[in-house]
Amino acid sequence: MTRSSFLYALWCMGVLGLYLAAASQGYSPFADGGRTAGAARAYGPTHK
Amino acid sequence: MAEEGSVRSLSCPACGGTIAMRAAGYTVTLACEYCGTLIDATDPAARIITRYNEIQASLAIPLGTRGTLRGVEWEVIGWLQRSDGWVIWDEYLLFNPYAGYRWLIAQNGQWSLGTMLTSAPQRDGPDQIVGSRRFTPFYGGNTARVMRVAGEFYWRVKPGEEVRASDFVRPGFMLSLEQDDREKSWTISELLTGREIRAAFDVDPPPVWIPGMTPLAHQPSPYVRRIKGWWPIAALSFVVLLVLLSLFGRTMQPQTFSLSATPDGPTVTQTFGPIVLPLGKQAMTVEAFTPSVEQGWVDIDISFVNRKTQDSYDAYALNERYSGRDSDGYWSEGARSQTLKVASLPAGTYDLVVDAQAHHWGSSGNWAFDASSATYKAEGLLPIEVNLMVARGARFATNFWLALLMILVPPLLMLILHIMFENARLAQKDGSSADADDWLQGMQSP
Amino acid sequence: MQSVACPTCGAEVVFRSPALPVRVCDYCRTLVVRYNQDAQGQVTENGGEAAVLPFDISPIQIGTEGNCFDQDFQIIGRVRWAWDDGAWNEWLMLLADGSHAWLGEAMGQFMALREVELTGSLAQVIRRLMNDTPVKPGESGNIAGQSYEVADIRTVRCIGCEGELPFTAPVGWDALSVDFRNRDGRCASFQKDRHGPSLYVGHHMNLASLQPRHLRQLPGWSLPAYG
Repeated sequence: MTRSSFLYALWCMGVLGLYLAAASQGYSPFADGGRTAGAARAYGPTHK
Repeated sequence: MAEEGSVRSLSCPACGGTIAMRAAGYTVTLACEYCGTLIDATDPAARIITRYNEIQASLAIPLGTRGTLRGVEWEVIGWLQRSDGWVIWDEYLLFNPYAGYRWLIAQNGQWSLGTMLTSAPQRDGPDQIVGSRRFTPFYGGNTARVMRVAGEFYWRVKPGEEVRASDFVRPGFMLSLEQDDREKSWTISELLTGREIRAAFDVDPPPVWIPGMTPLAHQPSPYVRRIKGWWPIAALSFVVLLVLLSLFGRTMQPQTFSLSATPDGPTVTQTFGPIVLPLGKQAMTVEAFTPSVEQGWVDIDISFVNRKTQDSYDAYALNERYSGRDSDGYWSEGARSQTLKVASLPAGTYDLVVDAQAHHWGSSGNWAFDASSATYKAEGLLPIEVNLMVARGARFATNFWLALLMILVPPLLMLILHIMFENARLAQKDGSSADADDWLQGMQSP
Repeated sequence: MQSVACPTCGAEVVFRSPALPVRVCDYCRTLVVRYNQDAQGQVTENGGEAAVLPFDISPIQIGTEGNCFDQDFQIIGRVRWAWDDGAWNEWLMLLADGSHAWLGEAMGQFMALREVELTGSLAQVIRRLMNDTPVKPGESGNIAGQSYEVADIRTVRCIGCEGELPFTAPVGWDALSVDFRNRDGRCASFQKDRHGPSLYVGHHMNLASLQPRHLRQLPGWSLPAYG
């Protein structure tokens, strides 16, 4: 295996590792929703 | 049968002592070791030595250098510089009395080892075949002219000497035909790796190709090897990715909730729960379905609120539906259902807080002035039911596509570089412009 | 290799290369400078310098043995030919069956050749050569049942000979020499001199394929082990 193939294999393992980590944590940078900055949500009327 | 030459000794004109020769770069000093007298630079002996030294210092491999290439020890005995009017290249003649002669051809910092053929190649259409190697035409009908020469050759080369040259290539190899009215000779030159030529003659390593540089006609694309070595890795990674995609992200334990909101009525807020997430971190899938929305839209804000920490995980859906009739007939648009995926909720007990507000679009229905908001609002419309299905887990297709893209980016980059390299290489081709066969040949490994 | 006597002390000074203009005597440390034309090359009309021809350092010598044409041979003689800008050797092989063959040595390549009779139906290119009609490199013709093409054409002159030879070859003897080659390593040579035309056919060889013994030991070079 050449050095470039080794580096590319490393890169692919990294990508797959990130995918695995995201999948096991239920994470996606493109999720429709997630944790809201500012912690607790205010209850009550949202008057517009 | 030795050819005798005249030799003369050189000694100090002042004291008769031994002359020492000191060479620094291009200049040579001849000085007496005893009295320090310098030999005049116009002295024929000094001129001969200086001239020889100048040439030696200008060569990448000085004449007389020995090196072992492919298991044979070679001595560099001659150097000539040739040009076809466009490019200039250097040729070094290698000699071993038991192995004969070889050529070392240097152009653009790349080195090739040339061997003269004793048998003529086999012609096949425009191509030439030597052994099992097929060469396609590249340069045709050029005139190669000797510019400068130094050292020994098996014929008495003179500057200005010309031959008609045609070259045929395959990756890593060039087949050259040189002819004049007295002889016709074929030479195969093989591109040497930087490591090989360095180990043999300690020259500078060949430059790495970067876009904008002109490759040699027989220089193999450095990217082909990478693409070929990488594609099994990419394929394997893709399979692993598919496995991971199917293993993770199944939805479990669905729960359904529903609430209703009146169009143009107030925002309805309702809390459902508890939703228990037993372990780790997980994504949540929420399907918001409003089967009866018509000529209007529903804003649905959902929040998973952790009962203990009050941390909130929010998402928003807009379900809408419009329809009508125009010259083309009936039309409808908008989605009555949305699937929301909320990322990374830690284990815990959650409430699902839902805000739903329904709106009506258009002029049908009864309208009444609402003093509180100072607008007209539709009245008497049926409330719209909002059904929510909440399940643990979510499969993010975007993660899959992103990972696939990241796996493919390096090979695609290599492919682009390969195309640029081959474009630059094939742009130099004489005769018919590069065709599919030339590109296919460029994909071959040396 | 050329050895000369040091002009100062008389010790042997060896010039390894004709391109090397200067050498320090190993004994008296005198600078020995070569003044002959070949030492620094000739100045040509173009103002440049021509290359020099290497010393005649052939790995073959009289007494070298080996195998060629499926039989053992011994080198018994040599003729050295020169053209305007170069020179080569033709070694005479005495084959085990008592017949003779030539081993041409040029540019580090070898041609084993045996004479064939110039009778019967001959290729047009050979007829033209026999009639002194000019022929160009690349022209083709059939010789002894094989298709050949002309590789080179030169007017040559004998510049020396040694050992046993089947003819007297006076120095200065002029001849026309035409080499042919084909696609599978066969070669042929046509020669015409004042005694008339002759034709030789054979094949290209390298030194190793001759399985040579008793090669000339050249100082500074290690003899390769063959077989």
